[in-house]
Amino acid sequence: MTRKVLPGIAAVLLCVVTSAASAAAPTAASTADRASRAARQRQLIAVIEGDAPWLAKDQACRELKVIGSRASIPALAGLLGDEKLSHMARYALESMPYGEVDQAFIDALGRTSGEAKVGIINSLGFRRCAAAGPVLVKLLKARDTGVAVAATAALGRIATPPAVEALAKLRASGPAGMKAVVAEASLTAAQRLRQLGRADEAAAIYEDLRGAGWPRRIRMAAFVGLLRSRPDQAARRIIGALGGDDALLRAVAVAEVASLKGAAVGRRFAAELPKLPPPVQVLLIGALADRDDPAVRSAVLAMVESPSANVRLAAAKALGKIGDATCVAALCKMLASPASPQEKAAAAVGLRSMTAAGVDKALLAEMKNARPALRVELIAVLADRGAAGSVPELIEQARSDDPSVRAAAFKALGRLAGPGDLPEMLAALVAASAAGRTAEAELAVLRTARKVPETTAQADAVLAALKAAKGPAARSALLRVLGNIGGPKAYQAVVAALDDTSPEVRDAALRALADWPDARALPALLDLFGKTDETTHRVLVLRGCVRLLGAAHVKPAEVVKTYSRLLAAARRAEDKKLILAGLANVPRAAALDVVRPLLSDPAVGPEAGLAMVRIAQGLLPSDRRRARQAAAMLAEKAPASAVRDQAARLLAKIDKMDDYVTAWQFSGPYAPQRRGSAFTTVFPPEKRSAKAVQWRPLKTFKANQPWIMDLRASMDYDNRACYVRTWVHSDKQQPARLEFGTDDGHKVWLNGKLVASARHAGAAVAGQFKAGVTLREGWNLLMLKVTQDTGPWEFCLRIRRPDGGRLEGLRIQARPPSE
Amino acid sequence: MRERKTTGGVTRRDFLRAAASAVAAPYVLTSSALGAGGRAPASERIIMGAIGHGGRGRYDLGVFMWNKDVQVVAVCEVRSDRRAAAKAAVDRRYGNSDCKTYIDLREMLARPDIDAVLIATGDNWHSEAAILAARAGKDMYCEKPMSVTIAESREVAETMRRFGRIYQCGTQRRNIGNFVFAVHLARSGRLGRLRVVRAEKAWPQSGVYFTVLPPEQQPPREVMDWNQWLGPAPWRPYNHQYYARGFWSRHGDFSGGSITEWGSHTVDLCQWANDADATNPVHYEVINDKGDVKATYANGVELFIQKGLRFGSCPVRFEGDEGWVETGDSGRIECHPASLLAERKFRGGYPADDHVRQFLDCVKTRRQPVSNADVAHHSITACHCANIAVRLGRELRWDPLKEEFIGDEQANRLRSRAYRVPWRL
Repeated sequence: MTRKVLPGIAAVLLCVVTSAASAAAPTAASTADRASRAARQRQLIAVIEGDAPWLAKDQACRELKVIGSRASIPALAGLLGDEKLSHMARYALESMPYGEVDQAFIDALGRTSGEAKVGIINSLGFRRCAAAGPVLVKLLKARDTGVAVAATAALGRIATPPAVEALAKLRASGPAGMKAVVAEASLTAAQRLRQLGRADEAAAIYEDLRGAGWPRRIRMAAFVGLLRSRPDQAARRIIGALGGDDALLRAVAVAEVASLKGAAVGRRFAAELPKLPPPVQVLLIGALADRDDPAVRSAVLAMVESPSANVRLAAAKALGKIGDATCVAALCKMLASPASPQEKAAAAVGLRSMTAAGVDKALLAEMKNARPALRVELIAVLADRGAAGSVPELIEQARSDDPSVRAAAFKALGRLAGPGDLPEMLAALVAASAAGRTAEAELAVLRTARKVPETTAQADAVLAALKAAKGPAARSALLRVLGNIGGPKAYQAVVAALDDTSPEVRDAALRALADWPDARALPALLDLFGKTDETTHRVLVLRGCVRLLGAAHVKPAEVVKTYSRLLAAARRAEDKKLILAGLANVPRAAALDVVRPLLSDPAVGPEAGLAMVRIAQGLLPSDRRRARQAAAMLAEKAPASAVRDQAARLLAKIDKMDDYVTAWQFSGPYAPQRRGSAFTTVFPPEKRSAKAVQWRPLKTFKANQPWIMDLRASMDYDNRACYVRTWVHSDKQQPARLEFGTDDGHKVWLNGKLVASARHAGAAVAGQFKAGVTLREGWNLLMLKVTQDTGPWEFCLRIRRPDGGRLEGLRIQARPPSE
Repeated sequence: MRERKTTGGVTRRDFLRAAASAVAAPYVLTSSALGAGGRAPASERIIMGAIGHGGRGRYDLGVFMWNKDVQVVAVCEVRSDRRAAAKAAVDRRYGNSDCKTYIDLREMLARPDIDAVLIATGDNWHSEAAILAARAGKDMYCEKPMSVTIAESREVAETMRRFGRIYQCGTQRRNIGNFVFAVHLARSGRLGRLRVVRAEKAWPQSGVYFTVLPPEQQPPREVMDWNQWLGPAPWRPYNHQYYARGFWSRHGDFSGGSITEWGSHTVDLCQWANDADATNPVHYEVINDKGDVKATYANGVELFIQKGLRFGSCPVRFEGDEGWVETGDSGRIECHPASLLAERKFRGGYPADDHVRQFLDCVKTRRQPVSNADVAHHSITACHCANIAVRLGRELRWDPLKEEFIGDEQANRLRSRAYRVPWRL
């Protein structure tokens, strides 16, 4: 859709806005570019100096902001006194890098007042125009408070010696009403002086502003500024503040500790730490941790033993940042102690976060000697730290008698172990199988096996272990692992195990097969479904079949046939329902034929009906006729009311689509050249010689209005054109009428002949445009160009008789008949 | 045994505790006057005002009010319907009718009892509101994007430093587990040497426009304060369509369009991943007709501001020479090698709870939050540079120290905009 602009001045605006794009001209401009820009500038200056309406002048200022040279300054300066355009003149001038701009602003001060004058002062301040200092100092005494305030603020930004001096006078004896503004400007000046390396002058201002007569927020800001201006004295000042009774000042002071430079600073504050009250210790510990200074580590470590829980908590967190191997024991102790959950969590996070060398080794030593509960936690910490060096010890722990330690060790191994560790892990798994639960061990082995780079070799170590394993529990565990790894070798082993003498092993093999990751298992599962009588196994096998049919790369026709076979072999209603659920996702007309006989089956009739509705929905894009047929039948004859309702809704949706064409290919988007129009530009699809145009199926339509094709959903662009095409087969030559709507403009060709064209803007309204055409006998190529300004990008089209009645007998397809 | 069914591992909150630079501290510095008013501490609550009550403002206000150490006492909004809705929400939360309403933020900021403010206005106001709040001695949680121009966010950062205020930009993904984890992978070297970072931009693809709408009958100030809504932006005749989000958020006078809309999050995360919180890319280049931008950092890492990443809104992707990670607001995350993810699982969504909490803690400890003004300034500057490259349609070189384009005067002019009186940087 296009947006509206001010009526009456649209032309002016169009001219100005369009040319605003010319601001995007290359910098390395050619002589022609420079000449073009100079010409444009002359036009814009003429607009400003002439009688053009406000908006045109406003837009000219906007453009001159980018392309204006010194030549534009007088014209723009002429607007500075204009109440309505003064701001836009500054908008253009303020960012120009010319000294003449400063002078133009200074000159304009003498002939302006009120908001215009304030704005000019603000611009001078923004530009830090030193030359304006004297005149701004005079304006400090202006009767207009707004002018005086602006001048004060500007002097703060300029921060030249006269400006700083003027502000000092104001601080000493300025009017009470200006106090806050003077203080703010002084802070600005001090900050500027510090940036310029004049720290002493800055410090003098900050010292001044720390006086009791200034607002508290100013004093606080001055205190921080002073610390930064005098870093050599900062530690002393901060320690002084720590001993005071101003809680906010303490917090502000401590926060600065993190940024103070020098190794001695850390030591100095570390020495202070034990002397402070707990609340301040908490703050200081946090700030010291931010310093990343080894000199403070031992002081913070000592705080882990503090009687204050808050201090202990802060210390544990801090050690996560600055701790090393020497801190591990203390944090392990905290983790093991019956402290608060917060402290335990802080210790765990601290142990996970420390990056110093030797931490893993220290943790490993602590883990080996810890009681089982702590050992479990430390194993998890090692895993989270990615401590690959701990794998040999973890394999030992995987053989532990304690099931929780065993499980934790296997879990960690799954993350840390490499393919070379597989034999030992498998041995541990076999050993663990004697003790019962092996889920963690199997998962760990699986994850490690998957790290083997050659996928065909991932099962090798497990197969070797299977060959050597004796007990059914171990063999079953290994089969489950193989089932997850997949591949031909694993498949053979699992299929062979279906005939094992042990029922436990046979069960494991069948379950592995039912969960097989690819379609390789499908034939064996189908075979099993026909042969197996045990209900649980039949259900497992059937689920496996349906899963693989849904996910595997099986040809659609084969999928329908396989479902048909399964239905024939199904004995229970639950089985049939499962099969119907799978069939519902097969958008093929043949699937309707397979399901339809079950409609009258009282046990599964409703499920069959719902499956048909779903299949019909899926058929909509490819076979609307068959989908409608099925929906109409179900809406009328389905025994279950829920099915009839759903079918009726689908039917209504299909009928809404009516005979609108939804089979399209598209090509695009196509962008016009700069300043060009997407509507008028002739893009390749319009050219007779365009052989290399790429066409793709258009599949996006509006969900609630399925007859409207949604181009934006396929191409998210503004100011573009797109072409769509379809083939229409007519049994004879006959007159017809194209009825269509487009958002935005369109051109329509039938068999290469332009039959309609409109530079339209707005929504795609069905039937808004009509074009009489003659369809020739055989295939007709219908092509539309739909242009996009901004917003939605859509179209809809149907082919009717010249009187508007339905035109029967047409066949429509998106692909060319030759393909 | 199915691997996909396993659970456990480090939770999102655990991870946040470990990886984010959150600074929660148990010590509560009593509030009521962190600089304003000079009163002795009277309670543990932070007294707050809320500025702006559109969709995001409503959400943020709710998050703040769920924190027990926050008491919202005032709301400021230029639209009467939203003003009333904001007051109703606050009063409902506290079971009274005490919340005061304001049209002009300066009146609210003049209240000495307010310690901090939530700024959730349109983008056009973010910088000026933050500067006014700092001058008034307030800390602030300010929604993203931080600014409409580079000069604005630079001035916000300077002002926060000048007045010692706490500023948290609403880039809350710095406190959301899946994003924090992805950044951690990049920064810790688990992906090898970082080569490419990718930041999704919001739809639509196009740049901003500067459309002027036809004038309409301007409502009374009490209903809609049009002049206040325009704020520092150029004056325009009233038209209600301006303040429809779908319009102003793509209008160059009020926003930076799709690149700042999501880039303020996604570019910000890329900056973080590249350990570039104190700098920006040095070269910008528009790489296709969709306005995608390739920017290159001084350390050679390439930043692509683009479309086409996966996993919901605001996705990012970091690629090293040994692995990659991609994640987005769905909470889904993919890594290569997959073992990097271990067993971590993350919730979807983009809640601001932890980000807000971190801000509140920082108000008390006076330490800088993770999305402080300096960090946010550098992130949004990268977005603005990309926008300027798109607007001018040419390659740009950028000096991050001087914060100026090298050899391109036109681009430099677009770093700032003159403010309309009475507003000033």
